[in-house]
Amino acid sequence: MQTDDGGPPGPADDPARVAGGAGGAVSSYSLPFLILAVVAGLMAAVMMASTTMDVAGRYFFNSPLFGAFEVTEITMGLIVFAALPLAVVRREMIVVSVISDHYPAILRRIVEGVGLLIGAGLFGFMAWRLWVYGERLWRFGEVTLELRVPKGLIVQAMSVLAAVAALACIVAIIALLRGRSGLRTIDRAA
Amino acid sequence: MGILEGVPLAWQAAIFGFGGVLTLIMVGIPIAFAMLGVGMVGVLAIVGPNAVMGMAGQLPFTTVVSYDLSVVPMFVLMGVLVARAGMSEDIYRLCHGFLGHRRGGLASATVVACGGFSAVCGSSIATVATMGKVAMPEMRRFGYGDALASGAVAAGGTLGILIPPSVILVLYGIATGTDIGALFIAGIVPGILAILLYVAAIWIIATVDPSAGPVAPRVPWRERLAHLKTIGPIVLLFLVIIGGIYFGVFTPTEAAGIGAFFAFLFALWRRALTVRLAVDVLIETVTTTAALFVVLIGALFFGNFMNLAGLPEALKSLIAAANVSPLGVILIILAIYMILGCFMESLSMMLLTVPIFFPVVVGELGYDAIWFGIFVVMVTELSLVTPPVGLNLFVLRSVIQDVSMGTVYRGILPFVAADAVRLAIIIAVPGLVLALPQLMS
Repeated sequence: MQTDDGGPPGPADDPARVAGGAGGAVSSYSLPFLILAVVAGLMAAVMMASTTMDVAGRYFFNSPLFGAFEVTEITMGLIVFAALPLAVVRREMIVVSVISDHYPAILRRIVEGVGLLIGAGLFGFMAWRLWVYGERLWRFGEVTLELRVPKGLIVQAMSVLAAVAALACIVAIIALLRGRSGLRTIDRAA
Repeated sequence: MGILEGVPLAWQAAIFGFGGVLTLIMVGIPIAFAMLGVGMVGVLAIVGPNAVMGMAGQLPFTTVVSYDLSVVPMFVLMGVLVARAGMSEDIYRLCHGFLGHRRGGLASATVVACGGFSAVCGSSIATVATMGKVAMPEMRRFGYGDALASGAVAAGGTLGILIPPSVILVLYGIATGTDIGALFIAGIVPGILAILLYVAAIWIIATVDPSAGPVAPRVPWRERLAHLKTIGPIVLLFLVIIGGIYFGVFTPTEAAGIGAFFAFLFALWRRALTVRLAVDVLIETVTTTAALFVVLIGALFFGNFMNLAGLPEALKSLIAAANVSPLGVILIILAIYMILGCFMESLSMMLLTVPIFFPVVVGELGYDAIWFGIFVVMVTELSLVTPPVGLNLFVLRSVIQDVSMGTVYRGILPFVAADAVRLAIIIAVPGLVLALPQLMS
């Protein structure tokens, strides 16, 4: 396993992370991806605050926060897809590199490139199908129960972000062709 | 199909599916893409293009836009915050004070501290990375052998996913429709059992070879009590989350948000957050979440493929025909997990196998869904430390770079033995897992 761009997550004294979070792989052309991820991060903060206010409101003021449930649902969809492009360019997709660590450099880059190409195809396909699904939801006029947000809008926002993730895969391939490589294994769930 | 002529569709699909995914993963293709790609091709082959196109639009939406799953980013956020706020040092100093002067005491202190940290962190990797940085230098300073020291950290780190909160238990709960709160509560006793067995393993090692785990000077009581005060916030955080879930004050989903909020307040109080660091914490949280969810979407797509091919039914009829006892089935599944665990990454192993085993073990054989969840988490823990693909070992190695991989492999073996004993106990006495959650309801 390689952790050439910042090492494992978490520890406060990790220099690459403290230095503005530019985990090494972020350069000027992936700045839009970084901005998207910051927006996703702020939505996570909103989610934290709205959940806490919802529970506090329920117990202390006898009035739960209106729409907190839906705010969480909608932000979930947007957080995941808005953070995806940065996760791609920072090589945070989970990879088992036990064998690929021993590849010659050129083969390692080829495998990484193929992986990203598959990713671009999958995210692109997903973006297209999400868009079509969103159109159908618009046609049926489906809205969320409390806040009455059109579901088609949420799905199509996810579609656009999935397309950006496909683009991020292409950007990462270009970076790879220019000589930056960084297979990386991270499994923060475990 | 050639050589597969006459083989039922379900088994053909299983061979193609698992073979394909494993091959792609081992070659070095991202796990999420391997599962998603193979799942799509499989559904295409069995049902046709319309099914794939429909699923590709709906599955990401229904998976991600989920209130229940918001527990994942919130627990990730909480874990990142407590790691940044220096809680790990506090816990370790306390355990050092109380255990350091015993035989192998610093290694035991490491395991207990990992257990304490796990009570506010749902990830094993974060536990290893954080505790490794704190505990390894300390054990070396007192002349501990690298094998014992690294084994204690890597094994202690696995407690992160057993002792609640646990991201893996959340995903198991969502995948199988099992009560997440009950799963969390069920993890407590096995977690304490794990700590006891690890400490016993350390005591045996240090008794056989006293030079591996020398005795550190006794820490005066006044100092110990001073350390005890510093962990107040950690205890409070744990009590709020687990107490809140246990007594039904709030749901596990709400507990995650509230836990993250408390961790945020704690980090502010410790002055551990600048604006820049806060942004960094948030970015780390969301990119980690995104990477997890892509794996989840991939696993669900793959699971749909296996279900459409009829694998769970095929497995049920195979077991019925083979006339194996329920215990025999559990032991076979255990063996499968131990082999898979050597080669597979833990999260994808859990997500790929649970949808197939769950209907058999819980639906057919009548095992408790909560018990099976703890069982699955325990075999997942084992997969985190069994060579060659043991994620905790790699993480430890990347934190402490001057230890050889061979030493790390050697050091983990006694702890793997302790895990095996624990699995045997849980299989023999399911009540250890089920007593607490039953009291809850």
